[in-house]
Amino acid sequence: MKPNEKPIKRQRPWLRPTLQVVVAPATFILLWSIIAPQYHLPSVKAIGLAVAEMIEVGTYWHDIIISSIRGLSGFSIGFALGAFFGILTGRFSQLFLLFGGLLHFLRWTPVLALLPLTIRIGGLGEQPKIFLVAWACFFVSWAYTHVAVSKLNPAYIWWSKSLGLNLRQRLFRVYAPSVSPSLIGGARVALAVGMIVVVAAELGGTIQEGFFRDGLGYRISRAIETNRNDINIACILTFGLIGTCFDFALVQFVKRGLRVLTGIDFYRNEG
Amino acid sequence: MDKAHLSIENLTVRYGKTVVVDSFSLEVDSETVVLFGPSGCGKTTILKAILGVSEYGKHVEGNILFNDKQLMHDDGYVGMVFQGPIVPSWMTVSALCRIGSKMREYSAKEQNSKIEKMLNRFGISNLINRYPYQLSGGQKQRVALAVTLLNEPSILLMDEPSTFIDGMTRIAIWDFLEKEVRTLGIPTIVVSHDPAEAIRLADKIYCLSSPAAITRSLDVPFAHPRNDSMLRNEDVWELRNTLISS
Repeated sequence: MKPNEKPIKRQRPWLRPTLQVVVAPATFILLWSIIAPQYHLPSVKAIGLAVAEMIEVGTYWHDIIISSIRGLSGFSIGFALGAFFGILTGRFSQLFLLFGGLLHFLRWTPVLALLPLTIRIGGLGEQPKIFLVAWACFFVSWAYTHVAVSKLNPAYIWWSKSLGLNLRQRLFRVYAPSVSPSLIGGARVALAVGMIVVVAAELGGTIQEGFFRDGLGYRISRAIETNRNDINIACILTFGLIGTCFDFALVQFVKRGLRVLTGIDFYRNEG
Repeated sequence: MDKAHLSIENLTVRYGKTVVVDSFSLEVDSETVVLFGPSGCGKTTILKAILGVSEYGKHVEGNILFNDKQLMHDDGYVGMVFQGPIVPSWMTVSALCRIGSKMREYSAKEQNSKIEKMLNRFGISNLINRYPYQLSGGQKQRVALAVTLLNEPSILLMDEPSTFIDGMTRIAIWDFLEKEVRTLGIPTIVVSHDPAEAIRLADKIYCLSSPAAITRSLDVPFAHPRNDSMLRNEDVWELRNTLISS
C-alpha cells in the first residue's frame, strides 16, 4: 500500500539539543557570575581551576567513577525489585491488601536516618552505601509501578480481548506501552533520589584505601573541612552533570529498548 | 453469508451481592438490535459478558450460544467497538489495522490489500500513517470500526457508538453504519440511550430497566437504507415518544 500521507515530522529538530547544550549552561554561568560575588562564592573561573586541580591530582575522574558505580548499582537493584513488586501489587489487589500497608510504612521511614545504623552494622565499605541507594530507589519505583499497573485502563484489556490478541502481544504491544510512561517517570525520579543518597552516604564516611575509596560526596566533606568552596561547588556541579547524563542515557536506553521489544516507536510524538 | 444466530439464555451478572443483569435472554439473527435504556442499567455489562470479560468479584451465569454452540470468547470471535472510542495512542492506523488475530493469519500483501479496501470503504485511507491523537472524534470512531471489522468478527458489539461526537459527525457515523456495517449481515448489538440513534440503526429495540431486564421490545418497521430525514416522519416521532416513555 502506498501511504498517501507521511507522518508529521518535528520541525527544527536541532533546536532542542541546542537549547539544552548551549543556552541552559550559558544562562547558568551568567546567573552565577551575577550572584556569586554578592555571597563571596568562587567565580566560574575559580571553579574551573578547582576541577583542573582535581584532575591534576588524579582524584576527579576516580571520584566520578566511584560515585557513579555506587549510584547505578544501587539504582539497578532498587529499581528492578521495586518494579517487580509494583507489577505484583498493581496486578493482584490481594497482594496489595497484604503488603501495601507495610510498604507504605517503610516508604515513609527517612532513608537518610538509616545512615548511622547501616554504618554501624556494615561499616564504611560499599554494601551499606549500595543498600541505602537501593532502599531509596526501591520505594520510588515500587510506588510508580504500582500506580501505573493498577490504573491500567481496563478498556485496553477488553479491546485486546475483542481483537483476539495473545498474551505476548497484550504484554508488549498494549500493556507495556500503556504503563511505560509512568515506569520511566519512576525510574528517573528513583535515579535522582539514588544520587542524592550517594552524596549522603559518602558524606557519612568512606574507606581510605583500595579502588572503592573516596567519591564525590567524600570530596565535598573534605572541601568543607579545608574551607575549599571552589572544590565543594565543583563537586556539587559535577553531581548535577553526571545526574543529567545518566537521566538522558536512561531515557534513550528505555526508548530504544522498548522499540526493540515492542516494535512500536510510541515516544515519537513526545520528541 | 450464512444466516447467523446469537442466543443469550438467562444471563445473570452479579458484582458481589449486587445483581446488575437479571435473567436476561435475547435472540439475534443477522440483524441490528439496540439495547435501549438509561445510564447505569447494565447495558454495557451485557456486552462485556458476551465479550467474555472477566473482572474481579464478577459472577456470570447463563448460556451464550452462537449458531447453537457455546460462544467462544477468544480469537477475536466477538468484535467490540468501545465507547470513547478505544484506540491506543502509540500505534499508527496502519499498525492498528494489522494487530487483530485473524489479520495476522494473512500474508503482508493480503493484509495490505484488505486494509486498503476497508479504509477506502470507510473514506479514511489518507489517515493510514497517522496516530490516533492526530484524528478527530469521528475519524477515531471509523478507525476503531475498521480495525474491528478487519478482524472479521462473527458478532459485532457497539457501545454507544456516537457518544462524545458532535451532531454532524454523529449523522455521518449513522449513515456509515447503515451503509457499510449493516450490509455485512453480522449479528450486531448496539447499546444506546439516544432514541434517534436507536431508531436509525435498529431492526429491533429492546428497552431495559435496572437491573438489566427487558421491559419492552419494539420492531422498527422502517425500510433500509434509512437516512436522517426519516427522523422527521410522524411514525418515527411516535416510536420515539414510546421509547422515551418506556
